[in-house]
Amino acid sequence: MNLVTLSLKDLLRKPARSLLTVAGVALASATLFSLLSFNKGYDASLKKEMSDSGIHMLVSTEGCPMEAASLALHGGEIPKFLPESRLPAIRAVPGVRAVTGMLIFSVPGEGRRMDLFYGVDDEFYKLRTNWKLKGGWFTDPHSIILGAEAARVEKRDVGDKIYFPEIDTEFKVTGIVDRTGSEDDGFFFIPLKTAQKVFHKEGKLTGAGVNIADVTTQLDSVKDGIEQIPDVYVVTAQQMIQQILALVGSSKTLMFAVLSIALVIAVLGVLNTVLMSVMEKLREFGYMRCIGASPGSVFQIVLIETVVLCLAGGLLGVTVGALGSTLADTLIRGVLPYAPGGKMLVFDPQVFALTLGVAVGIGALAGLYPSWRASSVPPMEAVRNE
Amino acid sequence: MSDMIELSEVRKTYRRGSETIAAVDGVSLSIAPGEFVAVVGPSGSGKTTLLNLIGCVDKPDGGRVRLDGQETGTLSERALTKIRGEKIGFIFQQFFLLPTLTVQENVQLPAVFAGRNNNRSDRTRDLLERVGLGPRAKHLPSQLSGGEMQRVAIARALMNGPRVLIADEPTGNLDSHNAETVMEIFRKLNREGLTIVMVTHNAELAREAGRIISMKDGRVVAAEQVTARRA
Repeated sequence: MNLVTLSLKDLLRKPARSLLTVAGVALASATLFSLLSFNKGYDASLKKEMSDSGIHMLVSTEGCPMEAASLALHGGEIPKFLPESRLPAIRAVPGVRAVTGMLIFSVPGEGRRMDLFYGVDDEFYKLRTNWKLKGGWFTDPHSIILGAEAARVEKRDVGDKIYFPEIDTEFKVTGIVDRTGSEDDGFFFIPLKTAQKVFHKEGKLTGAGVNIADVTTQLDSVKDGIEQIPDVYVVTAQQMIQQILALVGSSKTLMFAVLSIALVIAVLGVLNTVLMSVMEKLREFGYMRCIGASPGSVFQIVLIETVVLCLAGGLLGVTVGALGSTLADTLIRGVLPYAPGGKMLVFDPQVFALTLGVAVGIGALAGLYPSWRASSVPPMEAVRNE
Repeated sequence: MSDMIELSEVRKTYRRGSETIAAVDGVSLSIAPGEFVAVVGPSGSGKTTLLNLIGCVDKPDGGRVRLDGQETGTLSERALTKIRGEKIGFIFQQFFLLPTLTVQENVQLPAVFAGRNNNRSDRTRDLLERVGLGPRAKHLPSQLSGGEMQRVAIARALMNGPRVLIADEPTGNLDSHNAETVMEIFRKLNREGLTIVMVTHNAELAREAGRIISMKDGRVVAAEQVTARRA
């Protein structure tokens, strides 16, 4: 036996109280773990999504980078359209490797679902280097390629036919994209010309994605070159990322403010529990002093108890945080102005260690006063009122 | 042979509101090594305060307390902690066993605090055998009777091999049968040379000691050598 086992056994004296304290710390730790994981995963997910899209800049007639990002990545509609006739001029700008015209429409599907149709040309497929396509590319104007989630929901496989009453058109599934973890999973990809015809937007585009041969050296010159074309607005992927991060920054600040409150409550909870426990055992500490316990030993006993409570809470918290990351992901998405597709919360050993460190740190902090209070109990306390 | 305990004009006062109470008022006495002394007296006579001063639990306001040749009244708290852990074994009326520790773990506590690891398990086993609780080593205090708990407290008091055993009403919470068992252990320990100072209200038990010191109003009013000790 040593001081650690002494502390551990003492925690079992009031199991309900210990468990409630652990639960409080676990809640704060789970929140901390989720937010730290999110903070780390968000930027990476955003950049990966931009990179996977193969689009280095988006050309449209609208000037809002957020809208442009939303169009390029999540689908959506805007009231103004880019004339398809601009594409040759864009292609002609030195440094441009590929340009893909896109027409995006959402129409009400079954129930409250919105079906997202993504009219794309052959260039688009070349840019989606992360795609693994089961089946193949469009073979005729009534071909359709389904995102993995869209295929699952529609219960369709390659070769099946699919009819959309809202646009009164039947397509034949020529390909299904393996799950990418991005918004692509939910799209219906149809040939650009077919989309323009179905949605009565012949010769019009929602926007054009531009792929640059050498992003590091040609980005500015290509941007300048495209902006010489009348009535177009260019936004680079980097601008989109910066704009999105700036917008998300205030949400992050709010989330971390909530987290700070949770941590303060956890500290006060631990402090309250341990201090209450100490005050109940003053006589016992006095007796420990009588039988040779030094103030330092008593201090250690209480501090170890506090740290163990917080370590247990921290471990439980990160476990719950890791297991509940899907739920946390959904909740966080709900408060963000923009969230990349795929899973933002990914288990990271550094975040795990940092969360445990913070849990133990706040435990040690909260335990300082109760430990000092216990260690200052004189041996006389044991014999008082004897 | 020098005295194990020596008190010279020791005084201890307490304040209760505006009133100053002389709990121990100029007490001088000597206790030889291996002596068994019972301190008796009415409530408030100062016998527990005297025990606290001898056991380094409290410090005197005046006079001198010497234990095993060392003056304790002027020592630092660190030095007093060491003395309490190594030279004194405490037994109180309320056992003070930690409820979440087993019998053997409770017995080992003083060794844990003193940082003594050598032969801890063997010594614990021996001590529990001596107080007749060998088979109860793994039990929790809640599974023991009052008499058994006090015997655990005795084994714990002996863990670090003290020079003096200090007992404050050790049989106060026990029935006569268990009180007799505890006293039998005390007699045996005393025969082996352990110095024992015991406070008791029980006149019959006090006669188990070799000397009875009577206190009243913080002073020693009588000291009686007991001649007819039970074997």
